Amino acid sequence: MSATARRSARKYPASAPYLFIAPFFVLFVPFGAGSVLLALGISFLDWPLGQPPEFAGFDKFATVLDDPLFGKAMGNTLYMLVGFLLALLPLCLFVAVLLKQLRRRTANLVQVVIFAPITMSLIAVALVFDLLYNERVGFVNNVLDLVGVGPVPFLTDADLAPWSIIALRIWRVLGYYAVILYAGLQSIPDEYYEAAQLDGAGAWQRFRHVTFPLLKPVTLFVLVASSIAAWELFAEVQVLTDGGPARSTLTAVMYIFGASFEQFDLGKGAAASVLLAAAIIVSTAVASRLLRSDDRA
Amino acid sequence: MNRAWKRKAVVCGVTAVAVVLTACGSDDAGSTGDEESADELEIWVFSSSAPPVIEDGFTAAFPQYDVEIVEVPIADVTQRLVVALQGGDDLPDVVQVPLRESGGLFATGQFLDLSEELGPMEDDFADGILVGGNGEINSFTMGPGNMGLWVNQEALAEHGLAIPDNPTWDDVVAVARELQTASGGKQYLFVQPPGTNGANMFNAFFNSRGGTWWDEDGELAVDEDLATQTLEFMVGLDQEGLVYHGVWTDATYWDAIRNQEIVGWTMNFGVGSTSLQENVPEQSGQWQLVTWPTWAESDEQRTGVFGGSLYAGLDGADNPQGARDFIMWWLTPEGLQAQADTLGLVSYRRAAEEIDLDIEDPYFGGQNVRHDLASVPYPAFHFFHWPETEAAITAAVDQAYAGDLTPAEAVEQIVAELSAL
Repeated sequence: MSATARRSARKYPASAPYLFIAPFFVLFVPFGAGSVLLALGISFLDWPLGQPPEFAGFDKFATVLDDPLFGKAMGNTLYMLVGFLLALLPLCLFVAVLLKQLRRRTANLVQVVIFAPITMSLIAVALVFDLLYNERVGFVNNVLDLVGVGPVPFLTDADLAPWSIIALRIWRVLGYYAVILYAGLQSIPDEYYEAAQLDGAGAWQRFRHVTFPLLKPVTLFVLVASSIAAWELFAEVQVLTDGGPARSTLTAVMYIFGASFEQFDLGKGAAASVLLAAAIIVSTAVASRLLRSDDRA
Repeated sequence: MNRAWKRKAVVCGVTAVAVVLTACGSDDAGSTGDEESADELEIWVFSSSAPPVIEDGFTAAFPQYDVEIVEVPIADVTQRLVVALQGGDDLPDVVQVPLRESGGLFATGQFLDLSEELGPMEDDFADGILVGGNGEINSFTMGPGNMGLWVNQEALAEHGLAIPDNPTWDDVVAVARELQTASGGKQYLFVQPPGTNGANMFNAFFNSRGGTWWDEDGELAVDEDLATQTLEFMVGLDQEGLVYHGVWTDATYWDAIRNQEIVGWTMNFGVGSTSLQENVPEQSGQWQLVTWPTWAESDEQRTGVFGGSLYAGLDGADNPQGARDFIMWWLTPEGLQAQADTLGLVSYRRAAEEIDLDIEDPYFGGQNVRHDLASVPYPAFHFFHWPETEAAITAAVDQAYAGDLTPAEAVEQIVAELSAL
């Protein structure tokens, strides 16, 4: 043990590290892990409103899996998730690369501007988009009208509504994830690019063989974080379309909310939550594996 | 174990039992406290107009109650109630519930049965006003959502048009077509909102023809032909371009009224009168209420249901007598006056004997819109399984308007979904 380490050991008790991380666990155990365990427990109960619960085994899971609406809600969520990620990741990467081309001061200013939407209240953003998308007086349709297009029923057409929701979500989180990717880009040493350039690599080849591989850990974080948020889609849909038209934007969390607080079946809602959690875990594992296996290749 | 240790063990055991009994006893002490606080009455309301009249009227009539009013947003009230009921704690004595959510809540059997109080008064209410579940009467609807046709008669008159007396829907549609021609398709006599409001609008039209989805026992009871004909009527209006698409919760809606794009729409008192006067005061004197048109000249006139609210007492709460007193207070002259002042329509038939309901409204050119709306018979309607029913109607009506389903297919889809419940 070095002299410095010995001095540190004398100065702090062995329990010090645990005390430092204890505040997190004080909150996490009851409100994080406790809620998860509670939901898991409730999913095995038949618990009519105001009456004592009874053990129901896997009945609630069977009810949820038999319900075509749950399939519809999960399908819609997955559809919007895939569309969201396919559009978000390239856009984030593009913005991050653009940021890297800017001078530091300009880049800092642009970061502040593009980061701002994530700090805004989601409900307020949804209400603003409701006005922007308005068929008669909405800004977007007014602009489209100038070029002879429209009016486009952004929120009242079953095919367009999911994409209108996706567009809102991308606008809101694009800056946030782009800034994270930009931080990742900055950690790539310039020497790699110089070496690649000396080897005759063009811009695309430098991106493909230097930037992208070295950015994978950050990309994985962005992919996982954004996909978890996408699975949990709720508030903006509730405000903009309430799951319509024709249930085209009904999401898994809306289904859970409806089962719990409209049908008063907490067991069914909890079972659907557990299934959603399982879907999130599986999709996260798949995303991690895809990026990691690519690494090994 | 020697005798001394045994004695210690017995003392410890007795002490432990005493501690447990004392702890249990503290609950009894709590019940003593309950007796002391038996006069506390907690009421959850979502109507912002309710607290002042409760504070002034009810507390004056029942000074023995220490009333606590908790304002809960309408979107949260059911959620909070579910959490309170499942937690079995902190239950309010009375809760204000949207009529549409009452069917599911009352079916749980967790609410006070007011059959003894309201049963003998059954004839003093229209068929659908007393509501409950499991054969009980749990409450009566306040501010019932009787639908009417609100018309900007001055805007129509600019084109030489008017709605005839005692009109049928065919008469109204004929005026809407003439308006379309005269205005170049820029003014509307019908409104179709998207989503659940649209479904409830369709439901009100269906209901005004005697249609219902569930009977009083919660059994599916749909007249599919009637539902199909009603939806055909509404989709037909849309296809002819006679319908403004929008909802009164949008700011743009009131602009459309202000600039006379919307010159008529079907709605209840709350939005049709109250919101109209609040949002477009400058059009005072231009509007009139046309009571709900009939479907054929020989038909009996009948309105449709579009919401309403009620107060219900919780079975497991601390002060059931206070809850009963509170709900029944709304039927005293002071309570009826409070209903008239805050909600407009009073569902109690004998209210006119107790309070002055002869109110001429200058906004509507001196017309007594409360009386006229309430004069049209109110239909029986049962809000069983309403979240699922409303969701099924919303999805099918959306598809019918989009042309993805014919009205007959849409109704078939609704019935299939409801049959599976």
